[in-house]
Amino acid sequence: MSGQPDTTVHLVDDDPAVRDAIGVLLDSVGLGVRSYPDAPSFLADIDPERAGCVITDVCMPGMDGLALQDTLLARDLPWPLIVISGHGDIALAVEMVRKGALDFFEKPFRNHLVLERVREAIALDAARRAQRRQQRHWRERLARLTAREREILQLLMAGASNKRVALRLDLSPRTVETHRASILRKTDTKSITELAVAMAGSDLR
Amino acid sequence: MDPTLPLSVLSGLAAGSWLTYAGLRRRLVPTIPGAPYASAGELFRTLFEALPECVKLLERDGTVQRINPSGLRLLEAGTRHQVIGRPVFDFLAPDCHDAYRRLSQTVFSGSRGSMEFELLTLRGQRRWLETHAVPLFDRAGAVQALLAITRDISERRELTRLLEAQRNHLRTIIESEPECVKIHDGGGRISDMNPAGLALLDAEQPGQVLGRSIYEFLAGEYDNAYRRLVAQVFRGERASMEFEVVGLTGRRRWLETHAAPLYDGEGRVTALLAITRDIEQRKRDEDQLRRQRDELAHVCRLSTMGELAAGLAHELNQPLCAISSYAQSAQQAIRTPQRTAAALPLLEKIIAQSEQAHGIIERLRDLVRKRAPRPRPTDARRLIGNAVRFTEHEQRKLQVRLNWCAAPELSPIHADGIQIEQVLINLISNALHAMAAQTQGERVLSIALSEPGGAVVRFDIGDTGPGVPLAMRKHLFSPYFSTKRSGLGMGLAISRTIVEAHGGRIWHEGDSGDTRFCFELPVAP
Repeated sequence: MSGQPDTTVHLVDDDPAVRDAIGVLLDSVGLGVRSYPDAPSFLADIDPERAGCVITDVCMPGMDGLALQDTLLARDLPWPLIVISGHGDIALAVEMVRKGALDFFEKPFRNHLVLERVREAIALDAARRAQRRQQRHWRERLARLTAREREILQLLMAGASNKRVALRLDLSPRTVETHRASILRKTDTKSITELAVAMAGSDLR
Repeated sequence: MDPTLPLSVLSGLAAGSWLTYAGLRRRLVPTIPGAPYASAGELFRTLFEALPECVKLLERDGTVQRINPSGLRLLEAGTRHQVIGRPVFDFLAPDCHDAYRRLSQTVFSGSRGSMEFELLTLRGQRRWLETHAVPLFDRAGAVQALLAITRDISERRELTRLLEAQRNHLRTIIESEPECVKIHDGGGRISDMNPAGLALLDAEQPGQVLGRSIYEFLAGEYDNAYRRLVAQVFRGERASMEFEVVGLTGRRRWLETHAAPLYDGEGRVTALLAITRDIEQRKRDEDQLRRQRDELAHVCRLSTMGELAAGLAHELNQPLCAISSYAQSAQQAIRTPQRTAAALPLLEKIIAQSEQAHGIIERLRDLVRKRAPRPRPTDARRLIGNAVRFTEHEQRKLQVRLNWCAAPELSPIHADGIQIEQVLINLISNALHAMAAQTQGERVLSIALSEPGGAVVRFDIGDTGPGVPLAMRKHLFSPYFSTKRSGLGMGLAISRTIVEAHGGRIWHEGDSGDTRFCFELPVAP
């Protein structure tokens, strides 16, 4: 896989050798790495716009991996998390997976398995970011609609015909037709179907 | 009998009492300065009357022929007639009669002789006398009479008797003394040794030891120390030491000796008197105690190891993990034709990490190894560093902040590094364990090294845990006392044993939120 200069793997581990080894591994496949010796120094350096993922150790001084995960979730920082745990931290690592971490590896790990998971994580992050962009895009469009137009759109997306909408809202079909044209114009779409598919894709109701 | 006896007789007599005769002459000479003696007979008479000793002439059968005034006084006789003409045996204690007969025989056969005997006075007193007897020849050269000069030696005899009694007394004490008593000179030649001493050297009779050198029995390694002890005693001091001897049967024994100087009449040290006891049993006990203590320390180290095992496994896993990852990266690089060179720095890193892992195992092995303590100049900071590393995993798990400070100039301590490391691990583990129960505020492990003066280095291990309950403080350093559910309860007891064996001390201070365990160790000389 070729390098993606706009992705960053955030690496949090208190052991310098392990940090370096993972750094070497990621660097060998052209992945950008930012390394931190503990969770607080990572949290102090966070840029939510940086695409990528997080690899974290479990047992660390100051703040452990689970607490770091909680903090990231609380701050709505959606990087996929990969846990690399030392001997004896399995229970915590499992707990982290249960809370949404992508996977955990026990030290010593297989490089290719970690790399595979890192790539997945980056892809997942990219997908999530694309989805977020879509959401933002459609939210902005929908925000242009009037209350009446939103009401009509809701009914149209539920499969109602112009006639039924008119009947339901006590409007003339013509008026409904005018609103529909306005909705399509404001959202820059060609049909209500296209709009419905886009909205479903970006997880909007 | 002619009372005018030749002077030669007198000089013959004087052999037994020369000093008296010389003294007499000194007294006589000034009274007749430079004048020739009236006659030999006159001189003899004068002497006979004036001599302070008893002088008498006896016949062959023992009849008293003549006796001078001193002799009468000795016999407590009023007049000569009470004595003259009577057999001398009347005045001799019966058990001396035979001895007198032998003396008489000697003298009448022409020789001189002497004897000591007990006199019975006319008033029934007994006195010890010493007599010197010579034959008195007539002109034809035949023995005419026995001339005896006798002096009272009762006092001397009494003194001798007393001395003898004292000597016997002393001898009895020494002979029956259960400890070895010996006397030897400055060179170590043994002149006296009691049976207890002989037994210590496996000797059956004194001849096997007396006259030989003490150094023949001393185990060689103590020669120099013993020579120093001898020199000290001959300077007039008392001294003691412990050493080993090798007995006549080749058996080694531990002894402890207390030596004192023996003086002659003029205050010179002539010999060394030593009282020595067998301390074999004590030494064996001490040895066993030490072995048991070492054993216990070892068991405790193992138990400490058990408690630290998880942390150590974690610590060891880090370099192994790095090595594994580097190796895989290197493998990958080698498989990629244009990147083969990238494997080299990875291999370097692998080597460095292997050494790191080796270091951890070495420290571990040191801690577990069973061996006698070896004190040497040691850097206290290094020990702290090791102990902190051993407990790092626990520190991380409890999210403890380490606050560590050391005086900039610190003297090396005189210590066995591994043992002190063990004390530190114990104290740090206790501190961490205490802080596990701390629910409020930051957990801080503070470690301080200082040199407060008095040639000691002070270690402070502090924690912010809830402290030691008052009721428990008294027993803190007792064995098998523990507040933890796991562990032997030996940590602090062993720590104290170790610290005290190093000539240091250990104690507890502070209260909830600021508990400190402190110990001091002497700096290296």
